[in-house]
Amino acid sequence: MFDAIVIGSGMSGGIAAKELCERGLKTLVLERGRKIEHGADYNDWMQPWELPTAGQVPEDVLEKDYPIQRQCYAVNTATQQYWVKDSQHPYETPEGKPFSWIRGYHLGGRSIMWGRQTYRLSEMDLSSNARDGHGIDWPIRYNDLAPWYDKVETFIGVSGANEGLPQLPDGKFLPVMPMTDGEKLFKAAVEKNFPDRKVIQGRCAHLTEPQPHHIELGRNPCQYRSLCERGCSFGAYHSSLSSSLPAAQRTGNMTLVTDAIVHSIVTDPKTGKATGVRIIDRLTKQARTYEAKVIFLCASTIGSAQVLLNSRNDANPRGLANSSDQVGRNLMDHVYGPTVMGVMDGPDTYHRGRRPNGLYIPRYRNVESQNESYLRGYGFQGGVMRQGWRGVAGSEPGVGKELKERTRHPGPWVARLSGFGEMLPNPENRVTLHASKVDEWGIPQLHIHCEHGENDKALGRVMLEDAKAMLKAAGATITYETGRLHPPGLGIHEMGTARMGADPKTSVLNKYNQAHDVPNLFITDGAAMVSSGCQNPSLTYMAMSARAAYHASEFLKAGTI
Amino acid sequence: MKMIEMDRRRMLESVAALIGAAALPLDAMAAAAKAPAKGKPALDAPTMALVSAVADTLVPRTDTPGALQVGVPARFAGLLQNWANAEHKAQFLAALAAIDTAAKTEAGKPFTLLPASQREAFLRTYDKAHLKVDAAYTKLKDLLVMLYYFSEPGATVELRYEHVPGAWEASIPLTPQTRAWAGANVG
Repeated sequence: MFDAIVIGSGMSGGIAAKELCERGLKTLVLERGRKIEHGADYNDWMQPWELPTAGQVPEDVLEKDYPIQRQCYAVNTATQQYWVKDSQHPYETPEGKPFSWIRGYHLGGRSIMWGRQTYRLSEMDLSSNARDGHGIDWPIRYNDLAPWYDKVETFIGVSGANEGLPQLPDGKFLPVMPMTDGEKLFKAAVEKNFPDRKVIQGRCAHLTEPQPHHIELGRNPCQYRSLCERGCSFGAYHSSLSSSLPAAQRTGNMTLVTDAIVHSIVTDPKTGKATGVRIIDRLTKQARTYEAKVIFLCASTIGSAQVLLNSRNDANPRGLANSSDQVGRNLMDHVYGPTVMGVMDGPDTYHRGRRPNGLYIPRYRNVESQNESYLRGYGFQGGVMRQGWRGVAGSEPGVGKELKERTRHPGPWVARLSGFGEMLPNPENRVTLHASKVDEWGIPQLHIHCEHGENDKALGRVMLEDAKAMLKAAGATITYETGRLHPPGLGIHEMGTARMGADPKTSVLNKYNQAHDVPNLFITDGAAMVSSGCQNPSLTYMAMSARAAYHASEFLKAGTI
Repeated sequence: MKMIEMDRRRMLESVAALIGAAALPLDAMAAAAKAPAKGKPALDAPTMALVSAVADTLVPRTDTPGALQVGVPARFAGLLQNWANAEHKAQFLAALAAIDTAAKTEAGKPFTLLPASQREAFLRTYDKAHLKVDAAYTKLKDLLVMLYYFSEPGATVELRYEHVPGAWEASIPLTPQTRAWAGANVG
């Protein structure tokens, strides 16, 4: 019997495990995938000429095993080990309504391959549903999260700068990664032409200047390699493997079991409380059960919904913690796809090192009040860098000495912006269990129905126009533009399938991320999100995990759960 | 395994005979021999001769090694064998064959038999007409060029590569002597 079980070892589970262990709870961490060793299992040593098949995963393999995962920018032969084989982990979507579920099943989950952009939600984000009536109100406000944002940022290490923007709160930052000269020029032009907009350096979970508590965990400063998605042997960015799990481990309170696929959460019919977790061993396919006083479900937005739905029993025929019928619903991602690139003039300078970060333009639409024809807003990620060799070589015709001579030199300044828009919660965007199909471990497959609504599509259109206008304001000649929205899911910010709320009739979790129906069950991954904001969400999942771990341990001490 | 090595060597020797041994130095032979081999050679000798001639014309030896010195043809053959699917492999081969066909029509000789100076003049014209117009040619050129700059000499002798830069310098002077950074994530 453990004090706590944490289901999932990724971004949320890692922090939940650390916090529970540090509060003295004997904690079992269950990971469905294989064990990975920090450093030893990474391919970050591979030089360009050592990459198998020049980094390109064989096309027949992509088609057979990775038809969904291959859509992700970070899939290559140096990261191939981290992506699930879609052929082994199927799910269904309606005809013509794709959903791209990008994931990895291994210790640390997507905290290994994440994009590392790290932003807080603001008061504006946490009150947006209340303001326009879409979805339900968040049961918490910024002040509830702020101390936990502080704590998590300090622990994981976030490079950034304080900007004093109400829609993107400041935080506890390590030194910022400076802008290129092209970016400084771009920033000045955008801010001069659009006084409501700010161009800031991206905030990312990298150690620009490790603090003693980072060094104690064996973490080192960022080396500016931009090979991050392979795993970083320097431990320079926060992942479960470099950071949260080692912190949990050193307390002596953590037990880690990999290759344990959670089938369901077991409850006591008399009390309605969770008593443990039933797992299927990935390799032997044998079932076993672990027991604990409290359970943290951090299996990822869609994975956690699957576990709840599959925990159905006589008392809970719709699934566990689902008296509201909201489990699996309100699936969101960020509106993502519109991208613009352009060539611009700039100073005769270059840059050295590969900065694993870029520019960020925080949301500027509907900030103070609702004043556009559409709801909510969007932000941009991007950068202004010298065009690299491959672009220079391919940009215009040329062969022989001429081609070599041109490619030898850094190219022109290229500005790039990609939008990330807030997707409205919609109860019809949902995951359900397939009526008959199961995976090779006997767990029902998922059916995912998710599509962009009219407001989401409107954001896509305006973000494209805005991006073009900003590039033009900086004097850029547009060389590439697309307004096409990627299928939902490909933003890899899926969230919302077990939302928080004040009312048990319309929400799954209360303000402590505690299931209304099951008091000793906490869900702290993206499933808990009530609205999506337009910021990269991992920091919020981690803050909710730390906060919920505190409350869970207090409730245990008080004997109330 | 030994048989395969022998076959590869024989294939390379026939390529060398076709394009002139001097153009195919030992390091290319060595690189080719190291390229992944499964069963029969990925490409037949005439095709290897053609891709060698095209790669050599695209990225010749100058004050730094060219495509042949860094083993681009063998790496290309390896990619067609171990990376491309059947459809794309056929497209790459067709794009190569189209260059040869055009050479015969427009310059009167197979591409491999043109003298080096004529090869360059012909390919320059062909490139101008086909780049970004003919998708298969554009991909072929991108692949051959990419293989060159991904090679160790391409990345470190022609361009500059630091696997572990250790620092981010957001602004450094750019002079006519400044070389571009190599690697995969540099725009």
